[in-house]
Amino acid sequence: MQKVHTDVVDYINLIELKEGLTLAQFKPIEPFDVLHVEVEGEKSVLVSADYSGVIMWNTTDKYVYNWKIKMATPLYLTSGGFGNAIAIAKDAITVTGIDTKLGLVNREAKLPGRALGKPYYFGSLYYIPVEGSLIAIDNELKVQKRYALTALKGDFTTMVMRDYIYLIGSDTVIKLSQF
Amino acid sequence: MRKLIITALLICIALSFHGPAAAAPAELWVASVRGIVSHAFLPDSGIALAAGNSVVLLGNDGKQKWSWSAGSPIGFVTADMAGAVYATYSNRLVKLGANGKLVWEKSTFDKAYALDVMEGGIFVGWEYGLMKFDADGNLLWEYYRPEDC
Repeated sequence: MQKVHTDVVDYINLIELKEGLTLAQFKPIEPFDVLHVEVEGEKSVLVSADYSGVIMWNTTDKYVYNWKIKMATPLYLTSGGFGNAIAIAKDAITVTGIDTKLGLVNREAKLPGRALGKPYYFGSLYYIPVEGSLIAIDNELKVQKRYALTALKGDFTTMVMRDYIYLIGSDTVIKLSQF
Repeated sequence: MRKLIITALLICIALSFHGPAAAAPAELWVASVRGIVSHAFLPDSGIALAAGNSVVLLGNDGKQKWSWSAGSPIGFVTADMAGAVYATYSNRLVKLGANGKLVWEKSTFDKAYALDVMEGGIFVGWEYGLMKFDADGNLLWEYYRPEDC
């Protein structure tokens, strides 16, 4: 296992930003050891929680979820929009493709190295920092791009801003042109 | 003529090995900053970093433009569209101007759990809820999580 999450969320409220009013509360599962909240759309929020797996909440019904996939809580969960998401298991190697419209696991693959950070979805690809390189995989979980970065160790956040890719670690910021 | 053919063959062999150049990203710069825990992008592509007790601003060339020290660990940074940087530390929220100078400082009651700029407001999450400030540091509202959470 690469690392174990210790920060968990015990409640999710949807708040109107102008006046600070509660619009909705999330209560379809308990206990509320929520590890990931991934907004896919206005009425679709992916939630992963211990003992429950991955759940799709419609942001409207307090006690109802659209679907639930019983699986081990992933290390990372990233929505790709358009009915797709990926989850990376706690081994940091196994990646699962999720059909978020149907709530089904549609494929599974192994990454070429251990994931070092949350995948970042941009331009129909998931950019993932893995040991020794930055890769980009598609919704079929096939590696479409790979760029060797020998200094890539530790945890990294990936961001795509304008025409550049940024990798931000605890002691390093790397700026790349897109590929 | 033979020399020309050999040269042509060598060029063909060289091309067959390398093929069309794969589109590889250029590594434009690498910056070393100790203890990064949070980051935010500015409109001019600069990056504000919460690193140790300081907020560090890197320009889009990766070079440090300024640094501001809080005296205790910075928890979060964010930035607005005007290029101002907001940071939380201890139970404080600060606004730093585009030059890195302190503009204002406000209490957040307790340690911040989250910080973001949205819809023209600066939002600070803490243990019992959320608060919204405007760009001048005025507290617009406080939200306390419902008791049944």
